[in-house]
Amino acid sequence: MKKTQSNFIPNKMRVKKIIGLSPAVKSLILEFTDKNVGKKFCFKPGQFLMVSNLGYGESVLTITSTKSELPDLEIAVRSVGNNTQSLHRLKVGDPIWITGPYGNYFDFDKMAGREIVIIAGGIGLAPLRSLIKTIEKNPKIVGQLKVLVGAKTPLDLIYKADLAKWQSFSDIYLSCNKADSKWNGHIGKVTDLLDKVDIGYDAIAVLCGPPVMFEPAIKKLKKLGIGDDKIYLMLERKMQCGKGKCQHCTCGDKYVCIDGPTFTWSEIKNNWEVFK
Amino acid sequence: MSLAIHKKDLADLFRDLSGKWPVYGPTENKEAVTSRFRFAKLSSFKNFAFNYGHTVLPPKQFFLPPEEVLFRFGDNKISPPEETEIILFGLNRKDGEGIFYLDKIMSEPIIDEKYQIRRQNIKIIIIDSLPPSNSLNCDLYLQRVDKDHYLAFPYSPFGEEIAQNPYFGHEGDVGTISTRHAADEVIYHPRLDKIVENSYNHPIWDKLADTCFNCGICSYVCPLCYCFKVEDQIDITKNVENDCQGCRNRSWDSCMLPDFAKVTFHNFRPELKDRIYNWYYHKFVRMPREYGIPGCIDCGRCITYCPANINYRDVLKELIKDEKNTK
Amino acid sequence: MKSKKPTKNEKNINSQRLKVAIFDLTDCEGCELVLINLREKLALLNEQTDIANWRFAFDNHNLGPFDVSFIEGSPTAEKDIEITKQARAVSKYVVTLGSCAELGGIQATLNNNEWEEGIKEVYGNSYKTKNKAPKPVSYYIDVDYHLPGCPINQNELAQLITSIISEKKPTEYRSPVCLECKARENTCLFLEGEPCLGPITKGGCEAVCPSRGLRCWGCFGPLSGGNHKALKRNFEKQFGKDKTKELLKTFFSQTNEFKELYPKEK
Repeated sequence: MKKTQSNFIPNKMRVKKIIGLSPAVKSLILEFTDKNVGKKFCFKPGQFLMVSNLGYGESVLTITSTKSELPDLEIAVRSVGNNTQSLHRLKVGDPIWITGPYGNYFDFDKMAGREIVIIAGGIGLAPLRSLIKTIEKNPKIVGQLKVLVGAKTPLDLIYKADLAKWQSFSDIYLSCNKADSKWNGHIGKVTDLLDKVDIGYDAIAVLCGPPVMFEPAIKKLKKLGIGDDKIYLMLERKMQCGKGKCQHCTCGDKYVCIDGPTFTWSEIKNNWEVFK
Repeated sequence: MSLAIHKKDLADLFRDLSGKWPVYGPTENKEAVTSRFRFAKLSSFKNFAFNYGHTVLPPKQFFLPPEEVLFRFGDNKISPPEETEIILFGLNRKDGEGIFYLDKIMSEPIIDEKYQIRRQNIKIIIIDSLPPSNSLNCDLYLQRVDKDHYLAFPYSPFGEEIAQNPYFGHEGDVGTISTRHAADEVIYHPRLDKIVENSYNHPIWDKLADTCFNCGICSYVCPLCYCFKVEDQIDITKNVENDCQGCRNRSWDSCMLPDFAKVTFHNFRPELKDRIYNWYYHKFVRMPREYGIPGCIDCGRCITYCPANINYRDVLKELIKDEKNTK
Repeated sequence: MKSKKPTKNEKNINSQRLKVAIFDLTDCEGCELVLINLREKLALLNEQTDIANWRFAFDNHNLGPFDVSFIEGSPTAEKDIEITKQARAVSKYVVTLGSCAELGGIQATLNNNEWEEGIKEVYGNSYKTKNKAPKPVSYYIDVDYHLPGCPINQNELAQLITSIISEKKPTEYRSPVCLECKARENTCLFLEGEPCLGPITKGGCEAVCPSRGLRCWGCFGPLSGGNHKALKRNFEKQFGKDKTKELLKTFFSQTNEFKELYPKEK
C-alpha cells in the first residue's frame, strides 16, 4: 500500500462552485490558488483530504471527483460539527485549506473484468463517487457495475442527477427508510436490496455507510458466496493527523488513516474492535 | 585509548555550554514528596541532579510538549513558529533510549515533520554509570567509570566538537558497548504480543476497569505515549469569518479518556475496559509489530504516578501466567 | 416547568456587535470579577460586544433581546427564577458562569429537607421563606453552554465569547484535571493521601489548586464518562463512607454522576 507524505501545513484552495446535494449536504468544487501546487497534486479514487476553514478545525473528507477533473477537486460536506458548519457558510471565492491526499485507494487491477456491487448508506455514497465516475469514464475497466443506495428519505438522497446519469452504464437500485407514495424505489434498509438484486458469487462488494450497516450486509454477501477478500469496507474514525501518529483512528492493529480507509473483510474480520 | 573527563571539569563544561545555549536538565526539589525530580532550565551546575531515577515527565516534553503551536494563521497566510536550539544535559540512559524509540516512531512509516524540526534543534548529552547501548540517538554519552572519571563517547559532529574541548583527556581502554540483556524483564517476554492479543476475554480487564480512575496519567508520564489532539484557537482581536486570526495547536491526549474515539454520531470505544485493553494492545502488540520494539522502556513512571496503584508489570505477569487458559 | 430554548431566536448574529447581558443570582460574584479582570481583553471584546445589562458594572438595564445572556449563581429566590426564565426568553444563547449556575454550587449541597431545617435553625421557627432549595440553572431553563469553575477560567471565558462571535461551538472535549496538573509536573496530592478529586473532574482550570498545593475540590464538575465509582470506592477505603460522600457532594450534588453513585439520595 502506498504511503503518502505530508506536513501539518495545509495548502490554500478557493471555492469555485457550490452545489446543494440535500438539506444537510453540500458539494464544494475547489481550485488551487497556486497553479504549481495544483499541477503536482495527484490522487486515486478512495483517498481523502483533511479539509479546514482555519479557526474551525479539520475534517476528514473523501475526494468525490476523479483524476480527469484535476486540478480541481470536489468534496461533499455534511454539516455536523464546527468545521463542517463553517464550510457550509463559505461562498464562491472564499479560501479553504487542505492537506493530503491520505489513505489507500481502489485497485483497478483486482476489479478488472469483475462484477462490482456498490452498497452505500446515506452520505456513504460520496466517498464512492470517485470510483463510480472513474468507471463511468471507462466502463470496460470492470465487468459490470451495480449501485445500491440507501437514504433516510428521498430528500436526503444525494447525487440525484448523477444517479440518473449513471443508469447509462450501471444498474442503480435505490431505497429509503421512509418515503411517500411518489417514491418508486424500495422502502426499507439498503441491505434489503441485497435480497432483491441478482449478484454473482464472484462479485466484488464495496460498502460505505453507517457502522450499523456493515454487519447485516456482510452476512448477506457471504450467503451469496462472496469471499472475504472480495468484500471491501470503507471505515470512518476520528482523525487528527492522517499520518498514523495521533492514535485516534486506530482499529485493532490497523490505522484507518494509513492502512485504510478501505479494508477487505479478510483483513479485519479478526480485528477486536471493528464493529464497536 | 579513549576520551574521558574528570568530575571537577564537568562544571566547567556545563558553564561553557550554558554560555552558548539554553541548557535543560534534571533538577531536584527536596521539599516535594512524590515528584522530586523534574526537567528544567539549569541556571547553574549546582542545580543539576545526578542519578535522578525518573522525573515526573519524561524528556518527550521537549519534542512533543503538552501544548504547542503548529502554525499561526491570519491575513490568509500561514506561518509556522520558529524553534530555538537547546541542550538537554545529563539524561540517564533509560530516558535516552526513550528518545531513540520516540524518534523511530515519529519518523516511520510517515515522518511527523513538526516533531522532527523540534528534534533537530535539541542536542542531547547523557550521563549514566551504565555503558552506552545500541538504542541511543544522542550527541555525547558520558559513562561514569569511577568516583571521579567519566568516559566520553561522541555520537555526532556536535558531540565530537564538545569532546575537542580541553576538559577531555585520554584514558586507558574501555570495555565493549553492551546491548540490553533483559531476558528477565517482563516487557521482553518473547510471546508477549500473542499473549496480550489473545487476552481480550481475560477477567483482568474487568478488574482494571473497576480500579482505574480513567485519569490518563499513565499516558501523560509515559516516554512512548505520543497521542495528541489538534485544535484551532481564534484570537480575540480579529474574527472575520473566512479570514480569522489564530493558531492551530497540538496538545497531549490520552487513549484512556472517554471521548478519545468519539465522532459526532458515534463513540467507537465507549467502554473503559476496551480503552484499557487498547492501551496495552498498542504498547505490546501494535507497536512491536509496527516498529519492532515494545511501546515501553520499563521506566516505571506510570507505576509511580498512578493514583489507583495499577502496575503494568503485575498485569503482564498475570497475563503471562494465564497464557494457556485464555483465548 | 422548564423553559425551552425559543426557536425564533435562531437568527444569525453576523457582522453586528454582540449584545450581551450579565445576570447574577445567588452567588459570590467571583465569576463576574473574572470577567472584569479580563482587562485589556475586555477592552478588545468591547469593540465587538455591547454590554447591555450588567448590574455589577453599569447602570443600564436593557430588557433585551440579547445575543448572549450570562447567568451567574443559582436560582434561589422567586425573583431569581423569574430572571432566569426571562433571560431564556429574550436571548439567543444562554451561558452559565461558574459552578453555582452550572451545578447549583456549594449551596445546593443541602437537599430539600435539609434546606428547610437549615432555615429554621438560622432564622427560627416563625420565619417563613419563599426561597426554594438552590438548583442549577439548567433545572429551570435550557442552557446552551456552560463555563465551569469556581471561579471560571479567564482564558476559557475569552475563548467562549470569541467562539460565539465566530459562530463556533466551544469545545466540549475535556480531559481530567490530571492532564494539566501533570503537565505542570506538580506533586501528586492524591498519592500523598489528600482526597484530591482531580482524576474525575473536568479540566480547563489549568490545575490552579494542585499547582499551589491545594487538592482538587471538583469545582469544574464531574468528567462525563469518568470512572467515578472507582474513585468513590478508593476514597471510602481511605477516608470512610461519610467523609467520601461529603467530599463528592460539595460540587457534584446535583449531577447525574452523583445520583448514580448515591441513588437513594433525594
